[in-house]
Amino acid sequence: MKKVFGPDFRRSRPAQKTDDRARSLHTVLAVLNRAGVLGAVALIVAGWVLRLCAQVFPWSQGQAALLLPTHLERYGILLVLVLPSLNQSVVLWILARRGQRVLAGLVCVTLGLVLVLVARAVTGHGPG
Amino acid sequence: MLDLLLLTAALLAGFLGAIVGIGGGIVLVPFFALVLHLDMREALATSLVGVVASSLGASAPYLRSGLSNVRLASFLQCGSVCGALLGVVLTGILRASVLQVVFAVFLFVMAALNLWPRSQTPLLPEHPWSKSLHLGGMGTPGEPEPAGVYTVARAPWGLAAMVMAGFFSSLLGIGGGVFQVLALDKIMGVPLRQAVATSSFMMGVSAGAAALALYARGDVRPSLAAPVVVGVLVGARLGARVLPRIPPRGVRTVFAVAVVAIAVRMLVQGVRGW
Repeated sequence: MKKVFGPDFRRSRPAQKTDDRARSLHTVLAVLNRAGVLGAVALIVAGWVLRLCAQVFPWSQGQAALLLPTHLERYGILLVLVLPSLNQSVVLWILARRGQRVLAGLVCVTLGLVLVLVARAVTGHGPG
Repeated sequence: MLDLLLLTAALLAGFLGAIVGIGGGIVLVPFFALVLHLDMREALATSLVGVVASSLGASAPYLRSGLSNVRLASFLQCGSVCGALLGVVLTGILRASVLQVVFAVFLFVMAALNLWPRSQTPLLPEHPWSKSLHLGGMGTPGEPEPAGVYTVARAPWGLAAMVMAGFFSSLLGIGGGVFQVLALDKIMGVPLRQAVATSSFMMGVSAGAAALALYARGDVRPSLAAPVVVGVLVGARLGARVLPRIPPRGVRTVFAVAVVAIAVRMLVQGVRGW
């Protein structure tokens, strides 16, 4: 044990519990990230395929068929942009469940700032 | 044709990003501004989307291996998002030529930092905030270094550095990972591997916040951003696979020379439009 974790490492039962909790949080976030990224790429690639189909097959050149690829691309990009905030929401939920108020409060402030930034930009009151 | 060109540039950005340890904005912003002649604001915004994608792609394996310190990231992200907010405000106010000159100066600094020899950070005393919030972390079992537990020093200074990192991230359309890793490693005493992993997790939040605001403002063109997202993700994956087989010093030198060349070009263009 000393060889792996270094000379000062002492693994007690509470430490093991903390370690397991951290690992479960890491796993949830990793799965969320991977699924989100795959989803975004799938949406964008589906948009490209549909656009290609519209160019190859004349029967699929309706208004909806031409608009759908653009929408799919938009949703793919939005998914990528929203994913970090989703990560933060998961972290907030887990920290709040564990009663770690200070860190949970800081994550709340971060998410609040993101929301304010986006809301002001959407309503046109944003900078620029 | 444009899609293919974008995809190739994004692949290169993701590939270089994975090898040199950056977000990819350093490649994407000059490509948009100098090759596609996009407006600097659009270039920054579209590059930020690529940075978020690269951060998400890189952070998943780091999270799985337990290298990312999520508690520390949660603490520091508050600062980096505040900085990103300031950066978005300034991007709307500053002229495109000013942004180009600032970006060129940043590129010179980056090239110098890239060639600077890396030294081992000495052990620093733990800050009281780190003690009360349990911000320290643990070396990964099975890794030869760093062994055991690490603590976090000079937490308020680290938080201030993150404000700067977030600010430059949204102002220059980059990930800000260079500043974050430097601050985590040199100011806060976090081991380098954990610093890189934690930074890649944090980068997405500040860059994502800025990119969302710019998207809502209409600065992101979906037709340009979509190939960038796919290209960066695929390039980063390729880079991570090739990384063990490439001599790092050679790559760093070639990268620094390329960055200086881009910086000179950008500086000339920025000064002309002043």
